[in-house]
Amino acid sequence: MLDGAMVVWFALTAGSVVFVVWDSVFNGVTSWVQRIAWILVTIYTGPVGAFFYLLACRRPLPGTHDAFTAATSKQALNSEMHCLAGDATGIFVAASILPVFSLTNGWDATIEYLAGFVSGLFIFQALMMIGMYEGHYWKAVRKTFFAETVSMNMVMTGMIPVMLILGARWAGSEGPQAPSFWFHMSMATIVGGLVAYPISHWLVANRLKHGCMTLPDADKPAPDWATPRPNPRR
Amino acid sequence: MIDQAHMHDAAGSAGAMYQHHDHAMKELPAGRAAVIIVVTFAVLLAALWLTSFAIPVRF
Repeated sequence: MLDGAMVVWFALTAGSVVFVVWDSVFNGVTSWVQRIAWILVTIYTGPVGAFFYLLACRRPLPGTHDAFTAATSKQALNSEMHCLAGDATGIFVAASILPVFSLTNGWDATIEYLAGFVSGLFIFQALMMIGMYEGHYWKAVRKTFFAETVSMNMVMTGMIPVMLILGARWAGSEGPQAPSFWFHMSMATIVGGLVAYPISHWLVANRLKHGCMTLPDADKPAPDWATPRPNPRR
Repeated sequence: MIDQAHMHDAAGSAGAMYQHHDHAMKELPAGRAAVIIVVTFAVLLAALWLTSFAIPVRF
């Protein structure tokens, strides 16, 4: 039964990723950093990521993105996706490599935490947001350290129990060669995202972390909408 | 569908976007930030401790 559930999950994930990539390229009006974040999160969380993309980031109609994403709840969701993409990327990479070393599960979790933190802070926060800090990388690291640390801690608060329990109880799901490994990592990422949402909301509501922004002049109303059409009855 | 110029703009500087939106970030006082970080670490360790009731967590 679990095998069948995994087949359905991976099929839904493939469809979700294709949709989010397509929409990001042809309908995206946010920075490329934000688009990559949503694509990565959809790879890790499948249809759940695609659902939240539709809910919080996808431009429903030309000229509507700013208004559509204005609510703090949506800003927080976009902010969290940025964080989750960075953290989960480091965690996935570490979790894929660590089985080779046959460490204890406590050390596995510790190294995964460090990998997620390094990926999240030094690449996804500081490097990709360097434009926000006049091109000063270490200033970007310093300014984003607090938001990244508390977000990462909450993401791992959700992920660690799921990773450890499923890794121990689900025989054969320890290594990246098994589909069940990717399935249980997906479940862990979803739980991590849910647990981290409240802190993300608090950070964005208090302007301690950026939300989702439309690129300047990227989202204009479609030309047909801007010009009133002549009444055909006249 | 967005054109090439639009795509180039989309891949451009994040700085311009932040200026456009006036998304200047605030900072917490260092002491308060440190307390919040410690609290989140405590929550993380509590989750690890609770997990150890379900499965053995070894270092």
